[in-house]
Order: sequence, then structure tokens, then C-alpha cells
Amino acid sequence: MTTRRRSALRPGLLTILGFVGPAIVLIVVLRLMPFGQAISSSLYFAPFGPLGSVEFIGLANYVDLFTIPEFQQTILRTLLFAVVINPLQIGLALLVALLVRQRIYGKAFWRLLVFIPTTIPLVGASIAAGIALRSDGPINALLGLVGIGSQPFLTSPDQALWSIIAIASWVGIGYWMVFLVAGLDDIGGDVYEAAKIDGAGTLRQFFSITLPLLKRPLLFVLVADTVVNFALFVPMQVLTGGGPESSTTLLMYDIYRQTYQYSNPNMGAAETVILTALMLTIVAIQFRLMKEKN
Amino acid sequence: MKKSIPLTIVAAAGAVSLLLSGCSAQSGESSGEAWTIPTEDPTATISFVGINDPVKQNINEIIAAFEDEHPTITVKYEYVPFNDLNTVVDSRVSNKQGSPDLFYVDQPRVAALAQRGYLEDLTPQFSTYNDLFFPAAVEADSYNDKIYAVPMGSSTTVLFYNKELLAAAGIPAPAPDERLTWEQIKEYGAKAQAAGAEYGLLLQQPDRYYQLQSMPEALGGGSGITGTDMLTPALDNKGWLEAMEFYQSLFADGVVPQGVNSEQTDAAFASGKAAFEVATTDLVGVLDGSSVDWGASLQPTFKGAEAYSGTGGFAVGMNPFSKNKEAAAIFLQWMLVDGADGVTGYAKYRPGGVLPPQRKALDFYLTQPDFTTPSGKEVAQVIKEQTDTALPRPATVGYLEFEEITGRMFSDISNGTDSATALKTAERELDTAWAKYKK
Repeated sequence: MTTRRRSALRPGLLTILGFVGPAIVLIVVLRLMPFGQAISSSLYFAPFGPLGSVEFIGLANYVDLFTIPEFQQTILRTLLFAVVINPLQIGLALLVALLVRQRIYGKAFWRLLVFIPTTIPLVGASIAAGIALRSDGPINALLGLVGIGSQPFLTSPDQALWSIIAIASWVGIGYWMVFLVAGLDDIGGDVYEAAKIDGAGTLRQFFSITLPLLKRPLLFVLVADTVVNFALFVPMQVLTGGGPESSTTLLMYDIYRQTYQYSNPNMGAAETVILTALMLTIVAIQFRLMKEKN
Repeated sequence: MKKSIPLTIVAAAGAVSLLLSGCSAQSGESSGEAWTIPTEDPTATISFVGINDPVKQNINEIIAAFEDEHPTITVKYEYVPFNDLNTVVDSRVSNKQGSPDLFYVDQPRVAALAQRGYLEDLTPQFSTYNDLFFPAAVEADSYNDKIYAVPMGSSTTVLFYNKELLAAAGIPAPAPDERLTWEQIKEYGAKAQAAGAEYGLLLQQPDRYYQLQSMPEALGGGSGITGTDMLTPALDNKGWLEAMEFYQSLFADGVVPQGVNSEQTDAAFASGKAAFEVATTDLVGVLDGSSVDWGASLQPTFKGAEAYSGTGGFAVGMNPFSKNKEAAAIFLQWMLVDGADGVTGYAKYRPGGVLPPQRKALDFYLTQPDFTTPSGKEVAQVIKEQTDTALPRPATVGYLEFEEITGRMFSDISNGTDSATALKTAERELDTAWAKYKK
């Protein structure tokens, strides 16, 4: 009896493997292996596609990429996109999460309304948004009514990326809101009561209680949202093809173009490695900034 | 110690999996073995990827007729949009699993795809049939003197017009052997719009090289590609600039609508919304059953300029990794080569639409109901007259990049990007994309 109890308390290697093993295998097969292959593929040169002759060229693909002005612009554009879209989506998701927790009439209905765009596949949502943003579409009709006049949106190099940000956020905010609502629900009402007794106002409560106690779900949402947005691809593929004037060509879309449209998977792999490195760096910074003090 | 155990396991698992993936990449090489078209049918299911609508464009009928005559062979057709064909073929052929067995190939891509190893060399099986086809079609499907695809369609671009809309605006209808200038069409289009037409002019494929190549060529700008290896872009010149500025003005002045894409133009003309459309003869099939009273005349050109019309079309190529080459070849032979009096399965069961590239099939094609109506006869006349002005797209191993980059350039220019800037940008992008072939 005692030995059984002890072994139950101190699991052996086999038990650990039994539980953790499947996850490790999946991580290796689905994450590490493809990444390893991308690194290895990025060191080769196959001018005539993946079926042609292959030559080892070391880091030449990377050197090539960083000397191409268009690629430098793609990197800068991708970073700008990340800097804008992530705080925007999370800020709005938090705002909406706070709003739908207020005592308002039809709370469940409002929550549903915010969440619905999330349930539409991104392809469908992009097509719908594309139609809505057309020069003869409903949004321009509304703008016409209030006297602003028709906007080019997806066909203007100055507006296309912002339009994509708006479309991606329309879909994304409801999703991230769910995590933040759960996080807000976890904060006990007694903390707020105590704060109220001490005379803290709404703003003070938000900055001194809500935000600090929401740090964990916020960190998760921040990291996950960053990763999702770096890998965003569908709206560009469906709506702009990376244009006009390359204004919506972000790294992820360029990887697709190199790999499949130009049949140059080695260059695509080099860009994949660069994208992953960029993403990991930013996520590492986020972890550092959000680190628990204790 | 405790921490190091899982790490070692992870590392070992990683090493094993990398090793395994290394092995699997080696398997499934193309057999490269000689094969012939058998006289007796094997039992097989072949997969076939194409860009024609199986219902609206009769592909299902063609396949059903084939399966009736060859009951042991099943053909599974997969319909993909034009814009996705290249990525679908690229990703599926390069994984070496042998599917699809057959796929549509746009003729100017034959060189690029053959050099990349995406097409089976069909010379041993199909070169005996060369004389059945127009020489240009065989040439377009060859690379380094080998045949890499069987010609399926040819094409020509025609000016279609809506008789009622022209009459309402007091514009005289052009005769079938008349060639309007672009300048006239722009003026007439605007006039028709003033008289109630929604669109003045539709370009069937508004941002594709196939449709637009004749404009810069007419103004002396060339094809856009030069050099002995056909890997030097030549877009930044006077002819191209003039052509692109005119093209841009069509959109800026509202004669050609923005945002009506290739998939929507034919339907828009067939529903009576446009005064003119420059389109391939595919439009004839779409107009069959439409209430629009239409006519046809020669592909337009600029005032005082040389006249050119678009040509070329799709062929069918075979996956070199196919496991059903014999059965696939029997289908190809039935659909595109055999038939009483040269009338192939394709010509017989897809009467409207794409021009056949076989000599006898074309004669048969032009006797079909679509081409014997008063309007259809005009198209038949245009088709015959335009054999002299047919201008093929340039053959280059860099065509994949060329089509993609010029496509984006056309789209940018139609949206208002300065033409000179767009041409320079495209030229620089092509230089970058083609650098890999010159190493």
C-alpha cells in the first residue's frame, strides 16, 4: 500500500512521458521539424524550383534579401503593421470587455454581437469586407450621406493597409475579448469593494486593480495576438494581392509569393526564418515588459 | 539531472524526425521510364485539374462521353480558379505524389514549367500527331524541341458591341472587317454612357498581360522582354508609357469600370450593361441565351498603328510523377487528338468557346450553331481575318514572374499609380526576380 501511494505521489519517468510525451511529439513534428527544414532549405539555391538542381549556398539567400530595397520595405511595413494592429486590437478588446461587463440591458446580446464576426471564417469575412469597401459599396454610400465622399480604401496605396487593419480587427476583437472577459471575471468583487471604501475612483480602480490583476490573461492575449497578426495572410490574398504598389505586401504574403508564385521555396524559407526570428524577438520583449515583479 | 532527461529526448526525437523527413523527400522520384500509349485500356482513375467550369463549360459532358467509350477509366475533374491554377499545380506536382495526373497549362508557361520538371516529356507518345495541329500551337507547347503539352485551345481577341446601346447613342455599328481605333472606342464608350449605358467598355481580363500586350506592341514598345535569353525586362520605354497612360485614362475617365474583375466582365456584357467588350471568343458561349443583340469586329488598335490580336491558349500537360500515365494519355488522345475527320472529343462536346488548335476541328467548330447565327457569323469572319495579326506572348523561362509582376503593375496603373513609376518599379522587380536565372 505504502509503495503504491508513494509512486502515485512521485511519478516515474514513464508516467511523465505518458502525459507529456504526446505533446512533445506534436511540438517536434508540427513545429520544430518544419522550422528545421525551413532553416536547412534557406541555405540552398534551386533556380528552377524544388524539382530542379540544388546547390548549397550558405547564407547567400539572406544576403540577397537584405540588399533588395523592396524586401527592406516589406520588413519595415510588417513592423509598422505589428506596432499598430496589436495595441489597437488589444486596447479595443479590453474596452469592449469592460463595456460588456457593465450592468447594461441585454448584456448577453451585446457580447454575442461583438463575438459573431469571429465565428465567420476569415475568407468569408474578407470577401464581405471587400464588397462593403468597394467604390459602389455600402460604406462609401454611408460616407456619401454624411458628406465625406467616396474613399478608395483597398485600391489606394495610402489606405489599403489601414483597411486591412480594420478588417482584421473587426474579426479579431471579439475573439480576444472573450479571454479578457474571463480574466476580469476572475478578479474578486471584494478587492473593488475595499478600494471603494478607501475612496478610489473608477480610473484609479482600473489602473491600480484591474490592469495589474489582469496581467496574466493580457500577456497571453498580447503574445497570441502578435503571433496571429504576423502570420496574417488571408485578407491580402483575397482582397489586395499585396498591392496597390506593394502597400499590403507583408512578410507572410511575400513568403507565399516567393514559394508558390515564383516557385522559389528556398527564398521563401529564408523569409520564413526571418519572420520567425522577428516574431520571437518581439514576443521575448513582451515577456520581459510584462514580467511579474515578484 | 532530472531536467536534462526530457531535453535529451526532445533532441533525439528531433534528430530522428529530421532524418525521417530527409528520407521521405528522396522517395517518389519521377520514374523517367519509357512508356507507350497502350492499345487496350487499363483500369485506372485519373485526376485532372482545370480552370473551366465543369457544368457551364461542358467539361462534365466531355468526361461523361469519354467514360462511355472507355468504361475502365474514370476521370476526376477538379475545378480551380484561373488565378489559383499555378499555385495549385506548383504545390501538388512538387510533392511528387503523382496527383493530379493531368492539368491545364497556359502556353507561355510551358518553357518555365518544363525547365522546372513539372511536365512529362510527351514527344515519344504525341509527336506523331504534330501535323494535325496548327504549327504555332505545337511550337508554343514545345521547349528545347520536345513536346511538353498537348494543345487544347487557341484564342483570338475580338471587339464585341451591343447594337442597341450603340444605336441609342447614334454610333454606327462597325462592320466585321472594320477595325475601330482605341481612341474611337473611348469616345464612343463615353457617348454610349451619356446615352444610358452603364459601362462604355469592358476589357475581359482587365489586368492581364494576355489582354493588354497588343497595346504597347502597337505603339512600338515591344513585348516587355528582350535579350537572347529573354530574361531582360524592357518596360521602361516610350511605347509602353504611352500605352499605359491611355489604359489608365480609360479607368480615370470612367469608360472602363474599376472593380469589375475578369470573372465578372463577360456576365456584365451579356446582361446588357456595356457598349463594348474586347474579349476572347469565349464570350460567344456566354452570349448564347442572352437577350443582348450583339455584333463583332476586329480587335482595335491605336490610330495609325500596327494591328495585333491576342492569341495562344491552354494546353494539357502531364505530371511527370503520375502513376497513371498510360490511362491519362488515352484520355488526352481521345479529347485532343482522335476523332472522325479530326473532330476531337473536346471539339465535339464543347462547341462554343475556345477555338480549337487542330486544323479540321476549327472548320467543324465554325459550323456550330453558335457561329451560324447572324452575330456568330461575324465572329467567324473576324476569327478568319485575325490569323494574320495573331501575336503570341513571349516564351521565356521567367514567364511565371513576368505574368505576376506585370499583373500587379496593370492593376496599380488602373488604380491611378503614375504609369512611369509603375513601369520602372516593375522593371526593377523583374530584374530582382530573374537574377536567380543568371547566376
